[in-house]
Amino acid sequence: MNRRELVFMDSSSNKFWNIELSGTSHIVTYGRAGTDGQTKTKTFADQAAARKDFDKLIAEKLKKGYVDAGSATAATDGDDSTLPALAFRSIVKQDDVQQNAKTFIGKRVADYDPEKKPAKGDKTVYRFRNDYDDETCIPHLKSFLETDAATEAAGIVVGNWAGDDPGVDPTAVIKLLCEQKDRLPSLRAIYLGDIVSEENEMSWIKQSDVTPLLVAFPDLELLRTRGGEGLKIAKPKHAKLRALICESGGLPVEVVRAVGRSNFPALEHLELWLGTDQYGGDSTVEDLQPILSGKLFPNLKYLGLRNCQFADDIAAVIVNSPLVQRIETLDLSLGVLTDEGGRALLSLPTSGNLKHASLHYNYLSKEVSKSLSKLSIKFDLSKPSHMDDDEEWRFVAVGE
Amino acid sequence: MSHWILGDPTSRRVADYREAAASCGQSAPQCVDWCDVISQGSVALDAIPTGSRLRIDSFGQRDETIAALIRYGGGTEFPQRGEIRSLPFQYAGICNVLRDVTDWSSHCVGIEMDQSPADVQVMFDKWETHQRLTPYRPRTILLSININEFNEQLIHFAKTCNGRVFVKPRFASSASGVCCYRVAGDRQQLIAPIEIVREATHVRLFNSLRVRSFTSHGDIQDIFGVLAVQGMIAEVAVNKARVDGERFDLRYVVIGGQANHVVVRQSASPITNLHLGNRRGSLAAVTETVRANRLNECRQLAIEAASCFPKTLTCGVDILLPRSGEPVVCEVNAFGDFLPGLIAGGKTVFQAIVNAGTHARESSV
Repeated sequence: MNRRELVFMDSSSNKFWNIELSGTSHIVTYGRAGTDGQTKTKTFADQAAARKDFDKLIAEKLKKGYVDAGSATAATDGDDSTLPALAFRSIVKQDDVQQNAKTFIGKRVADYDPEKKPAKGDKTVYRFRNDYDDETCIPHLKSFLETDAATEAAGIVVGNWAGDDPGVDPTAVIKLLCEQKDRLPSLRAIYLGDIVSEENEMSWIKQSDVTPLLVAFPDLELLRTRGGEGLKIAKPKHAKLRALICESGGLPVEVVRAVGRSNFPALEHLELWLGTDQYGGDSTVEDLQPILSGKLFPNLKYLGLRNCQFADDIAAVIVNSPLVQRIETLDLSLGVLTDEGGRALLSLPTSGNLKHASLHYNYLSKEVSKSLSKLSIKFDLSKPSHMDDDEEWRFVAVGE
Repeated sequence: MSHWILGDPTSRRVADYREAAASCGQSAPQCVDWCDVISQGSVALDAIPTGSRLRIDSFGQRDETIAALIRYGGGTEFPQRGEIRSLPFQYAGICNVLRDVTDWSSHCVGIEMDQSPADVQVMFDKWETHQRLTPYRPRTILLSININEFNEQLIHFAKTCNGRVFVKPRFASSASGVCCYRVAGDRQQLIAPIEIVREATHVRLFNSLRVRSFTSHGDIQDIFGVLAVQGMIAEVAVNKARVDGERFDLRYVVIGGQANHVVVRQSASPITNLHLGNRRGSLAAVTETVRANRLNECRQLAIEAASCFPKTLTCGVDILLPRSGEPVVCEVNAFGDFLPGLIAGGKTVFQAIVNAGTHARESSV
């Protein structure tokens, strides 16, 4: 194969990367989706060297989570109103936790401005949020719901709903969305809590019961939340939901148990940020058993048990889980994964569907990382703690 | 006319400035090292001939310069690389060098100074600068160097500021020690480009390119404990306007009363300094987001702020544009003119400075 077309999406980007091998050169074209991008040509001493570099670059991209543009993950099954599975990606790189979403479901995120006519078509997702001295979240959402753009909106991002008081929960926003559900007939994806530390610490965010959204929007495919405290899924039931993402500094055990008794038959992407008990993350690996048993989600392709203090315990049991035979991606990133967990993962089944495992931001030694990278599964082992040396980040103030 | 710089001869700043002068058809300026003035006093400046032009540039970032400044200022404790320590002594050292420059220039005939040393001295003291610029500045207090009084004053002040303030070292620059501090009920949060290192008997703080969020009382008190004794101010946090969902502020380089060079400093964090992984944003995007007349107000304000230092040819003025309301001055930086690649009116910042000095002289003849 002399040509490869790859794509990537996460909360900050939607981009493509194409490479073509031609004799002793390869040509890379890359950029933001929907643009022509930039082209770079590199020439080598001979064809073999060009081929070697071609293969190496592709392998690097795949490790980072790029997928083939024509693959099932990137495709929309021919039905345009269905989201590609790739669009369910949330935070891929740890640094992105610090910044508001730039993209959501592959579309550009923009703060809604009632003084500007919302963009027609389907390229922008609007965000609604308060500032600490300005309560605009609900008024702007109300204004948006009166526009034609609302009826076309595939996604909505709700940012900081609390103003100056971090203890306010999003009940009022949820109520408004549910009451006005007829204005949102195209809605497929909701991000409830695009909130960064400056606005409200993740562990301070007050969430609430998201069941009303599941009831009001039967065509919803993606529900993504941030914040653990107060989060509830009282009736975990939805026929079409394909992705559930709960980001938190500490996820209450009740949420984990609710997912464990849920009825989400269409679920393809399940991502739970389990957090630490310091911030109310009081689940243990036992609470994950119903999920790992593999009976609940026949269509699951991605399982993320992230930001977890007991990632080693998960690694130890997940290698024997029936579920891991079926999924394509296992994500244990952002957690406390040490060599103990890393060694356990050496027994991951390589004969099943599992193709990709993200251990981004880990505490693995170089030796264990090396052993893992020899498996046929593609491991994202980026940002290990031995590269996380604080001293490298020190700077001398410029006298200005 | 020969052209001289007091600076760090090893720095890119000086190299770039020399290059800029050459590109304007002048001979490349010679550089007197701050370290030489520190070790020899004003004698080190005697090499500069009568009728020369002198630009005071930054002392730079070399460890030996920082240590020498601290020693010259009477300090006996020296920072490790990147450590936030002995700031008041460093400032006193800067003042002593500037005093040497003043002494020297008063004995010389016809030296054209780009800056008044007294102005530079004020710009290195955020509290002095605040007082000089009061009508254009956010509400600010000087905090006690006693940690208990500091805490009391800060909590009290924060409560009058919607719970959000910036706490800044009085004598530091480039985001060193700058903390975005928030109190909400019994919770507190401090966002800062700081790393805490705890040793057996004491705590060290380091400037870190990583902007961290601290929420534990212990961490925050450890940070304040080290900073308070070095002299701090607290100012009300201005709710900065956003572009593309991110906060921004504006750095103008004012040169001879003109503010044509501007960069948008855009950031996902509340601290927008460009070296902290933040980006130069797009002025076009900002112009589209905020109305052109508001941007013009910012430019006028930058010029206004610089005019409070009338004997100084150039300075970098940071302007905060709130989401609503009038712009305010965040900081005035004596050496805030190092913005490589920034072009306005066909000139880089340094080219514009080289020319502005020349023109000022020609028109006065």
